[in-house]
Amino acid sequence: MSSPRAEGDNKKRLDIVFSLIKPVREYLLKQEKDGEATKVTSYSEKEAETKNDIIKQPNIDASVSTYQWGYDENNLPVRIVNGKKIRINEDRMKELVENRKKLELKRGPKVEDNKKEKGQEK
Amino acid sequence: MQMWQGKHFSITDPKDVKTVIYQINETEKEFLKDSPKYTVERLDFTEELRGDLTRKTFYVDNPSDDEDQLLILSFGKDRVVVNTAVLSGDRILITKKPVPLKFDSLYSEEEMELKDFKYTPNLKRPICVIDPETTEEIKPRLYFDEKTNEVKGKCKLKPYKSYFAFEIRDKKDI
Repeated sequence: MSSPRAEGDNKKRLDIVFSLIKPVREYLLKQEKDGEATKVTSYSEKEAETKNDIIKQPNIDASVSTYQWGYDENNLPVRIVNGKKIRINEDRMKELVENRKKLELKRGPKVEDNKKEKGQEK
Repeated sequence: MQMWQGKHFSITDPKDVKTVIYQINETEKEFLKDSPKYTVERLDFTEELRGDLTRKTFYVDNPSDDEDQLLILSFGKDRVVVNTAVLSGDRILITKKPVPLKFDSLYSEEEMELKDFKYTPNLKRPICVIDPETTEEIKPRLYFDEKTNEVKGKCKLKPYKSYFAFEIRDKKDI
C-alpha cells in the first residue's frame, strides 16, 4: 500500500518504510494522504523476508543498563559507562543539566542518582 | 563532583544503514501554552565498527520514572525505516502502541526554505529535518516574526536533494 508518486521523480524521492508491526503500520498509514510526494511503503514481516530488496533494519539489543553522567573530579563533563569515561561536549552538557533540573523540579531528586553503575547495585 | 544516572542501550546497524534515535517528550501541562504538546530530542551515541557492522550505544541521559517513547529512524540507500520503541525499566521493546507521527520527504528543484515552525528555546523542536545521506539535522536559522511576535525557525534546503522531515503531532492537529 503506497501513496501515488508524482510523475518522473522516482529516483529523487525518499522511501519511507513504516514499522513492520501491524497496528503501528496501519495507524501511520492512515495519516498519509494520497497524492503527496512521499512514497510510503508498508511491508508485513513475511513480505519483508521474501522480497529481493531486503528491508535492512538495525538489530536492537533489548537490555538496558545504567550509567553515570555529570562533572568528574576535574570538573570535566563526562559519561561513565562500564568504568570508562566519555567526554561530553560543553554546550550539550549545559542542555542536559538544564533538562535534568527541570525533571527534578517536576518529580523531586531521585535517590538513585549518585549511586554506582549497574552491576554494583542490587 | 555531581553525577546523575542515565540509561544506555545498543543496536547494531547492518552495512549501509545508519540509525538515529529520538526521545519523545510530552510537555508538562503548565508549559503547554508556549510549547507544542510533544517534542523530540536526539540521543547522543558512541559507535564501534565490527567488520561491516556498526555497533551503536545510545544514551538516555534523562530517563523518565515510568517509560520513555523512542523513535528509531534507520537510513539506508534512498530509504528510511521507521520504528517506535518503549524504554521501560531495564528493557527496550519495539512498541505496538502508535505514536502520533507525521512524515514527509522534501524535494525541490529550486532552493527552498522550510519555515514557520515555532522554535522552542531548549532546542527541542517540534519538526526535524534530516539529511538522509549524513543523518545530520538541518539546523534552523532563527528569525523574529513581527506579525505573530514569535521567534521562529527556518531551514534552508538544497535543490535536487531529498530530505526527511517528521513531526510528532496529536491526531487532532494532523
